[in-house]
Amino acid sequence: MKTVITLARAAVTEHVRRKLVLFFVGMALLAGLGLVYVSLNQDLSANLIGATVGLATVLSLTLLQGMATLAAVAVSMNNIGRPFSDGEAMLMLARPVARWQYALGRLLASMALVVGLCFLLAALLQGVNLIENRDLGWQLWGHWATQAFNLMLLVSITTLMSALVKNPVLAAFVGFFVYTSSNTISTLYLYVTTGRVGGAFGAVVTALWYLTPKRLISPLALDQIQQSGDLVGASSMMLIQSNGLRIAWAVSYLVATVLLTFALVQRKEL
Amino acid sequence: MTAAVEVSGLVKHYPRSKRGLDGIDLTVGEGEVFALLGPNGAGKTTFVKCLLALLQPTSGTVELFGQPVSSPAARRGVGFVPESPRFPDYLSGREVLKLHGRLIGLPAPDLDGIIDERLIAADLDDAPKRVKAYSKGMVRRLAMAQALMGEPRLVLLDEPTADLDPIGRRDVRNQIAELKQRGATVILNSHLLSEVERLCDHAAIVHKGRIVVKGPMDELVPEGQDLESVFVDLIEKAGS
Repeated sequence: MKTVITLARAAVTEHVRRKLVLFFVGMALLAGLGLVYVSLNQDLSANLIGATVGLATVLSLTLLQGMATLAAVAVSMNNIGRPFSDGEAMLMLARPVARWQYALGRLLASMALVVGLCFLLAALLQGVNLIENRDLGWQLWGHWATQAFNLMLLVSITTLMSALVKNPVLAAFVGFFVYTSSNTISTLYLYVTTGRVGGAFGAVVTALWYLTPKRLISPLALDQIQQSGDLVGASSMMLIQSNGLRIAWAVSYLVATVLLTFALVQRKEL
Repeated sequence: MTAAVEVSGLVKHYPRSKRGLDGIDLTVGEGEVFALLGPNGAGKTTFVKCLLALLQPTSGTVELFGQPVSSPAARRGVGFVPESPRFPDYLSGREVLKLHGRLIGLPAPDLDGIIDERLIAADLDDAPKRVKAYSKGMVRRLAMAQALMGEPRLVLLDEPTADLDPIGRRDVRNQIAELKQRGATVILNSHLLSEVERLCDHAAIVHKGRIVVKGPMDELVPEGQDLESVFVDLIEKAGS
């Protein structure tokens, strides 16, 4: 474990010094200031969404969530492919370091940064909510906790892609596509389960549904979908009814992705 | 006595390439300074990478001090300078050495002292802060410094004097002489045959992935000849 922590610390230093983390933290703070301005300026809120309160919360769910997603991709796209292709990994793997330890160290560093960013965003939004006199309470923290888990899943998928392809930009795009495809596949699978889609296409969709990541559902997001009457959205999210089963599935997917990454890294040549 | 390196039937084939290793058997005893010679593309670097499990052999076995190299523990006490060393750009030379010191399990209280010693020996104590700003020669000196962290029992040097000025080359020669004196095993892969002749007590000449000849240096180079002429003769004969 000492080796993994040493490698993870080095990877965190890499991201911090490459100013990637500082960029996203800076953007978060900037966005936070914007949200504070919006929440204090009630006329602007009224003009934009026809409501005097809640605009900051609405914006937060899209703007900051999107930014956290970008951050997760950015800190994981270089995890395996680049250090193996440019030879940076060679000297470390010539040490008594197992390849899975190397991969796990870099993976944990990316995950720790993403979880830290989610915590920062949650704290920021708690502040904005207080200014808006709107207390989302546990739902806000629950939202960012599920978001942190989902982004760890995105980190693991992007890292897996970076073990498959040398080009970090391609790894980032494919990782992001696989992660975001899960909502579309879930919606299609809903049509399969309700009998509206069948045959060969239905079988393909079913196979894809089992292969795509299962994300945790934010209490806030589900609440909003249900309030807005988006029955398809809500139903596709609830394809797995039991909370426990949903968590077990999501965790299993995360573990499987990590194990697959280890297997690929084990076979990589330097 | 356990051999430092024991290689048996080592074959490495690359897909879509003829280059590789074609059945290498080699034993390097503890305390030997062993030269691996051969023309470009002979398979020397592939061999060194197989010794460290950086490449997976197609077949054959590699053992370091009696342990299969696939086990990370076998690489404890091994220092390595690759042909083109590459360090994380964002770290300083000191941080690179600290990282490697931790990876080989050097005790934390001693680490700073060891690093100072290595940086001074490599003439990098007042080097720029980030490795990114290092010259090629400085990177190579840093590679040598990290390889010698923790007094390794086996040191693998792949073209260690490339990119170095005459003073840097002399320093590497002195470091190899010190390793020899300390009883460490050194495997040196170099094209500078005069240096090899001066430093090494055993050698193997590799050509097209096979060992053409191996043995003690004084048996390989008859009196009145030098290593360069022996090497050229052998490669020309093997090539024909």
